[in-house]
Amino acid sequence: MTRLLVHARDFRAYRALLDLHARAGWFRLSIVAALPVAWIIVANLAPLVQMAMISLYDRYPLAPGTEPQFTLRHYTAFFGRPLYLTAFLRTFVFGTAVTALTLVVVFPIAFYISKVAAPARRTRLLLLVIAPFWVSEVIRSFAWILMLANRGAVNSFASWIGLPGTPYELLYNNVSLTIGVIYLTSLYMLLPLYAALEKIDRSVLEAASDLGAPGWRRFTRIVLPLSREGVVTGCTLVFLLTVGLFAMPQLLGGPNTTMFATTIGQVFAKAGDSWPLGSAFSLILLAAALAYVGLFMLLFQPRRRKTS
Amino acid sequence: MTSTNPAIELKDIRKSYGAAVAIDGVSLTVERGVFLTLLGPSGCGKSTLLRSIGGFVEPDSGKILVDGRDITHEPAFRRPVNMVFQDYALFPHMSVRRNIGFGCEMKNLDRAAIERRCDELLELIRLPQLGERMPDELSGGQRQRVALARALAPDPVSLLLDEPLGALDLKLRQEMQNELKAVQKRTGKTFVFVTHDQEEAMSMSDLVAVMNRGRIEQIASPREIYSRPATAFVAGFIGAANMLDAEVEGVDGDGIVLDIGGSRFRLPSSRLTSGRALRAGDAATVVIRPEQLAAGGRGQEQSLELQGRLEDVTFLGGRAHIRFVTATGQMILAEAPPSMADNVGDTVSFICGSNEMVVLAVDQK
Amino acid sequence: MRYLRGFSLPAYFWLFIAYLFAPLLVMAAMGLRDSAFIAFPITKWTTHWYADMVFDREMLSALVLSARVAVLSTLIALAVGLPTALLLTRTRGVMRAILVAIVVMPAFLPVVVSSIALRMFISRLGIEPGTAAIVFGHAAGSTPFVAVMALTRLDSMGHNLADAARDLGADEVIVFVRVVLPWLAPALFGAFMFCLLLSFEDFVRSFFLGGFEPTFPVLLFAKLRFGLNPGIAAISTMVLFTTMALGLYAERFTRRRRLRRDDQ
Repeated sequence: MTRLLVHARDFRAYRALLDLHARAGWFRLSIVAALPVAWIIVANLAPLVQMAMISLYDRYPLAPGTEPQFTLRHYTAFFGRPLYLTAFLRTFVFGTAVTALTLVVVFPIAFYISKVAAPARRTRLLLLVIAPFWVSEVIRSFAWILMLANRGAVNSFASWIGLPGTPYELLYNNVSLTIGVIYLTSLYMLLPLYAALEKIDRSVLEAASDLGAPGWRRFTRIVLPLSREGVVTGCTLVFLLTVGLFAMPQLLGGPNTTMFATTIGQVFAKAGDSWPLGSAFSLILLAAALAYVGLFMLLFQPRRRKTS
Repeated sequence: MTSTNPAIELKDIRKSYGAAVAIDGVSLTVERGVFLTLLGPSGCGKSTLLRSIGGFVEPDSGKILVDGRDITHEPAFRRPVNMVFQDYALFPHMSVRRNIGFGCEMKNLDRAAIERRCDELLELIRLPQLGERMPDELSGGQRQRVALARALAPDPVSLLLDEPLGALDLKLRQEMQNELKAVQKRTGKTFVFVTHDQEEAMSMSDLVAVMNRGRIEQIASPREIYSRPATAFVAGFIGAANMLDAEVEGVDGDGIVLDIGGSRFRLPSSRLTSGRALRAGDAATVVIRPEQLAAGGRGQEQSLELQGRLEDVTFLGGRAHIRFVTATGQMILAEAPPSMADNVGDTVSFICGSNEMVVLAVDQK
Repeated sequence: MRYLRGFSLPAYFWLFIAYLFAPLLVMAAMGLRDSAFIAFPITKWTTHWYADMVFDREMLSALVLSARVAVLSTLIALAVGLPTALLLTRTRGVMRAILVAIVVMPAFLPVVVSSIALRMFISRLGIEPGTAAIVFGHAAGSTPFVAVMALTRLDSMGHNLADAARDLGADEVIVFVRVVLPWLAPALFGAFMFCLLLSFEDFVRSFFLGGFEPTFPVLLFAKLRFGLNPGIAAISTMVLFTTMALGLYAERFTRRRRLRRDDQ
């Protein structure tokens, strides 16, 4: 292979290209930039721009030969029906609650793996936790259906040990959805937390206890501040993931747990002026989620001090 | 090698990054087989100069000739010089042998010739049995030697070494200095070596070019650089030096009469090392190395006497460094017998022979 | 604290592991139930669901489609993500921050939003929903991960490495083939596996961009809403073990390398 490439230099045209590459900055840049820039435009930017446009169109697709009419009515439609607003607010409340719960559930796990378990075991424990996350959201939803259904594993176990009042209504409500969603989000919280906690030097904790800090103070004064960046990253990821959930709320939730992403999907799939309406709702979700997360990061993100 | 062209010629190289001038008009000729060191503090432009010879920095103006050929605008891969990088830059995914053979591969040598060349070089760097190791299985010193062999393998006109010993600890560093020098002698190659370590520069080089602020201040043998520094910067950067302000009272046939701190003193004009001639009324600087000051007694006619209050003494085993302050308030560093220590606070007296000091013209700026 | 360390924390950790694995084990067990319905307790056991599902036409064709989409979209993502990373290493400061933000954007958008945007965009391009559209959508979703993984690896490459090769007579093409690519190899392998699984388990993009042929998660979604039987559990279990094994292999591979590097 190398020999071939070296031989290629015997050809004048190839040599000229190499020279051009060595001398002309624009040529160097255009070789690496052409494909990525084209892709970014086609896959990342254009669809969103088009979506923004469509959300302002009165109808879409346009009837042949007609000029597009611009309107804001798809945005105002959002406030028109309490159904939309409820789902929207529910999504943000649910997202916040799940994010907080995930943080509380996962923090001790990250702490245990990174700071308490023997270093030699860390990778293995981490892999053990990561393993289930390679499984599809749909399959994991199904697994929880099997757990929580009226004739599922949990109820079957409860009645077997003789608990009264079985079967419990565990499925198709907030409980099942929360359990399932935390199952989905744990990893996105775990990895940033683990990365942040791993960086804390053990001797810092030892110094704290040497200075007389009891366990709880050590946690609030040392561990938590030092892992703040991980907490913020994890919460951001989890929140964004949760508000965008589409499949799991339909599988594990009930009629009272409809999330806004599902609403968007339903609106979009409807006949009529569904595309402009779906676009407008998508942008509302996007803007609201980003604003919410931006505010959160503004409040909690540790300021990076500039060191020379 | 039959060519008689100098290995490297630089003609008025200039390079700036925005407002910051990195190289400010450097011209330099390096003859074949010479071990030249570019010495200077960090940021003086020595690395930039070296990298421009290697082809990694394009000068704004000037010419670079290697073996008589103008390569100013050649890309790095066509230049007949090879570089040893500060962090070695060994290819981590190739064995030692493949690393060393890489340059020959690029020259399209046949496989047997490459293998032979690798054997030769492994022999040269005294690691013949480590050819199959990967770079991350080598010690720092071994990596250093492999980097050297890799750069030598394509038989370049000149080797460029960019602070290659910077990452090694002191002991290994000294070992590698000897080894580098030995390899240079054995191969007869031209070495251009960059360092900020003056001892390293003094012990290894045939020629030292002292750089400051993008210019070469002086280029000479290590001995000359030390004993006859051409500028105040060179005097101060290499070794310890006392610098006394002086004023020229007059210049006669073969001597310069100076006023040093109120006393008249005559120096032979051979002690003037800076290029510009001195005239009456000029400001000048007199440079005296600490070891050239002798303690005690009255001097003869030819000696400058310095007196002052002894401030402190630092023991260095058999000798001591002492510092005293003259009546004009100047701190003077000198070497003295350790017994001096008893006299801290007393007035001490030192002399320096007129042939052991150097006088420099002070640039008016 | 000592009490926490000694007993509570490990206990909590293993409880969490139980939370992670219990549903999966329950699902694997359900696939063994000798009945047409899904319910506990399991009293009669059979392996025929597992055996049947291996030959189930509908499931198989969905799996094959998913695999094809995964491979194709991953290859595209690699082909685009690699030059993207190379481009990003050449930028600095604000320019770089803006470019990175645009490149990674698809990973942070709610998937529903980007799926709908893509769905409307492909119809503008004249592409019907179907396999090609899914591949495009998955590639768009995977590219940020390839770019970031490759970029991370590139950032850890001393710039002298490429210069050393140039210095020894290697032109840009050879530098790329002999130095840059081998350096990137572990990151590219990690990205390959990651994107493969990402695509294989994707539901939302496939749901919005797909035509009549469903990918496996889409088919499963439909089955979950209309008509369950232990066979679904069986096939899900088999897919689960396959993806988990692949994921573990990739993760182990990249982590082991990282550990070895840290040792030095």
